[in-house]
Amino acid sequence: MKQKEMTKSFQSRPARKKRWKPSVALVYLFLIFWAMTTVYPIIWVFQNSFKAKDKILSNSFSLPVGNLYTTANYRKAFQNLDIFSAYKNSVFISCVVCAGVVLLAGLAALPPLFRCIPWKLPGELSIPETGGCLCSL
Amino acid sequence: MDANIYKNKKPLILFLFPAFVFMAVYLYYPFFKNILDSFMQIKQLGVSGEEFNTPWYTNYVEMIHDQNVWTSLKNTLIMMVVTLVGQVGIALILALMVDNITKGAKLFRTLYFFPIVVSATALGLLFNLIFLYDKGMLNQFLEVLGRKTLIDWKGEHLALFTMMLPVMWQYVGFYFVIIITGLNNIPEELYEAASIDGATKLQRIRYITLPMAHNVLCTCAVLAVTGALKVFDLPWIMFPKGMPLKSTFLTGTYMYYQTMEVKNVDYGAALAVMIVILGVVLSKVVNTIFKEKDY
Amino acid sequence: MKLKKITALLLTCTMAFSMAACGSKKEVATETKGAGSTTGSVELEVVTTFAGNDGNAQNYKASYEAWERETGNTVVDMSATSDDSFKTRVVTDFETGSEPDVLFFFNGADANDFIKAGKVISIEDIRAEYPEYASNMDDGRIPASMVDDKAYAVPVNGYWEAMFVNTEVLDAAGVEVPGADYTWDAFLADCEKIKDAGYTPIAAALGNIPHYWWEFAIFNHTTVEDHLTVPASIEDEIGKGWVAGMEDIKSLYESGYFPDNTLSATDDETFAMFVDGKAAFLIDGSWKVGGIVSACQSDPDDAATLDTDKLANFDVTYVPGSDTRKATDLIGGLSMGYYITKKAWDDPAKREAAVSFVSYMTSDEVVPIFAQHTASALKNAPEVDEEAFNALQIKAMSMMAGCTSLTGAVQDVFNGECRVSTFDGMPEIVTGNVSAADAVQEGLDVYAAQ
Repeated sequence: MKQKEMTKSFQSRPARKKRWKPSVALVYLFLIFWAMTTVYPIIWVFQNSFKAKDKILSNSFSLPVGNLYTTANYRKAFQNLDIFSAYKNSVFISCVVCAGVVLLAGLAALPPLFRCIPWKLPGELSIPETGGCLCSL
Repeated sequence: MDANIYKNKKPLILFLFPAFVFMAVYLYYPFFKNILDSFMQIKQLGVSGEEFNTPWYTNYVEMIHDQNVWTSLKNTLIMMVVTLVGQVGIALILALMVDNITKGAKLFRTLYFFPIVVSATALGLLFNLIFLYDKGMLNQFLEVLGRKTLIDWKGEHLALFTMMLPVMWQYVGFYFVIIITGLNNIPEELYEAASIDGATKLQRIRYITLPMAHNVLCTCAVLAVTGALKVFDLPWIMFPKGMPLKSTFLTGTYMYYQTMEVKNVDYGAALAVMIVILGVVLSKVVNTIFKEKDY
Repeated sequence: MKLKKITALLLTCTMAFSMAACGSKKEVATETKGAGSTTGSVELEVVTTFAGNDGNAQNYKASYEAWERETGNTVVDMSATSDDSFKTRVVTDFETGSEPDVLFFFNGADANDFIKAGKVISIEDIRAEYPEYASNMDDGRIPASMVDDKAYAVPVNGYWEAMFVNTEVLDAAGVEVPGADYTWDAFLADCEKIKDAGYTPIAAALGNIPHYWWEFAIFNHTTVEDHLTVPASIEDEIGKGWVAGMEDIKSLYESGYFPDNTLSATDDETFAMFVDGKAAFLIDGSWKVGGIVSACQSDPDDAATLDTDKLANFDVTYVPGSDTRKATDLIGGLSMGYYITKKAWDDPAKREAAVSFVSYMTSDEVVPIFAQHTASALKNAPEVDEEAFNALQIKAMSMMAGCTSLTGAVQDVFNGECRVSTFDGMPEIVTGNVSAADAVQEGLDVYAAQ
């Protein structure tokens, strides 16, 4: 306990000085940059879904305001292409796959754990022990 | 321990049985049937082979002489290097960074996982629009910046680059999550001890983080290498049939092309066998390079 | 220990039960097509190509819903847009026994496999039970199958392939809209003028859809009589014509008349170029009329938003001819029709429903909705009401009035694997990596081996 208290107080002093270190700012900058590259395409798709087909090609970056805005695409998706039933199918498949995998894999994973360390329940094993048991299969 | 094994044997088999049956029907049977199919003459999808090819190894000989197979192997090797360096590398750097910051770790985790959740078909369309020759995002940018002639991103010279960039981008988040989970398992005390001893951040990374994350990195490497052999959806949406000029085939897309488009089903089966053999060999190689170490 | 055993047994039972349930759920998913006569109304599985972006997709939906209301039956519609993977899916369905009850499909070589296997009923046999079947169709115009010369499919609408032009681009380049006497040399000269004016003469994606250029390039070296004959080798007359056709496309490519990115672009991209006034000529089929009209509407589904000025820039005319082919000889015909499968025929309730469905969809009232400005096989085709059509459709109809012949497409005979070396291999041919003669010979060899 005493050791922990000492390390804590040791660390708390430099923390006040460290707050605006340029390296931290650089790290955040890079992380935010990468986050933007992952998020922006999705935003782009979303904003373009409200534009008519030919307008997407001519004004890809502008926001869908004024005469660029149209809900025709969504109407087409739900009425003509019946995307709702596609959603239902996907949800159904996901649920079945999830349940199936959990059951099958869960059942299959238990015996080797019982076998190699029979006096421990699966929950008590640590990761290396689990890994070792699975590999010894 | 021996006595316990005997006692537990019955429920053991009961537990393993369902999964085994499932795998036998949906994995082992098709796998062996596929190997058999590669030696037979199959006219169409859905028809089973009636007679063996003459001579029976003809598909494999054709594979050696087929220029497209060599192209696809070359491209797949390049893809493996790109995924190892690009996906796992960038994921590692990101994970190290996120591990060292105090606020926002959870937010970044969610944000980086987005591309994997989006379907590859949707991503393919998105990137098609970005790289479109006439009014794609990049070419519009270039026009705004004053460039006169448009770059054909899908032309012969840039096709490989254009294909690998989205594939690389998509799965960074996946490896990021795996690595960061692995990094979280490294006990705090080691870092504290090191900083008391006067180690700088970089030294801490080099001597503590990387060695401790070795096993996780090994798993990621195997996944990346075998994934590159199988990757199909994004490259196919963006570059169907290996266009342009059949230069962008990967092992996965070429097998699909031969089976579904050219309808040369037995040749496709032979290609599939080749992919499996390559996968097994390469993952063994990676495993020996990144030998499991116990710390 | 006992607790463990019980837990183990319980879990295994749950496992087995859920697997069985999952398995049967999957079966149900595939069997909602099929069963159904328990409630008195029949469930008919139908597969057509009127789906997605097809011009007649909405017409089809409205028509079969009307039939459902009339007869109280239900239609399980599994239509999809027509492309190579659709053809594969239909053929595979027949192989695995999961074919639909009614099928709207090609009547050329693509149908050979399932006709040979006897999985569809010929019109003759249907008429033995239902004498009135397809009686409103001109029998002489119903195409017969290549397998046994019997008619199997009742056609609805036909198609033609011609050349669309963007008159705005032509005016800017100082070129006249081509007429009925258009020759290949005049075409080359026009392309040069258009290229000098800074536009792209031809809108085509050779790396994606070279189909139309392939067909007409060969047609320009064959005659109307022998166009549908596949040569035995490149040495004979027709074979030499095929090679010459490929060489023509190559010389067009080398002169720079195709878009810069023709080898890596998709057909949609080059079509967008045409619609945006960057390219002048586009060879495509009658379905593209609907595509051009949609592109001129800000809401593709609402005809009221049509920009008539923009539409006025488009015209459709004849494809440049040669000494063996007049410019007015076009490719076209009635290439698809409704089949009734043996699967439906053998079930009395479904047989009744299937015949009723096809008769409804091919009746004098419904066919004109689909056929609009294209040909059909009706004996009494209704008068064309010019008010109902837009400017481009009227231009198309007047173009067709001057058409001297409609020949089928030889690519429907020379299908599947045979086309790989010349279709998928078109980029290699035009860039010179593979010689045209070698590519054609490879395709002919595959055809001969079939």
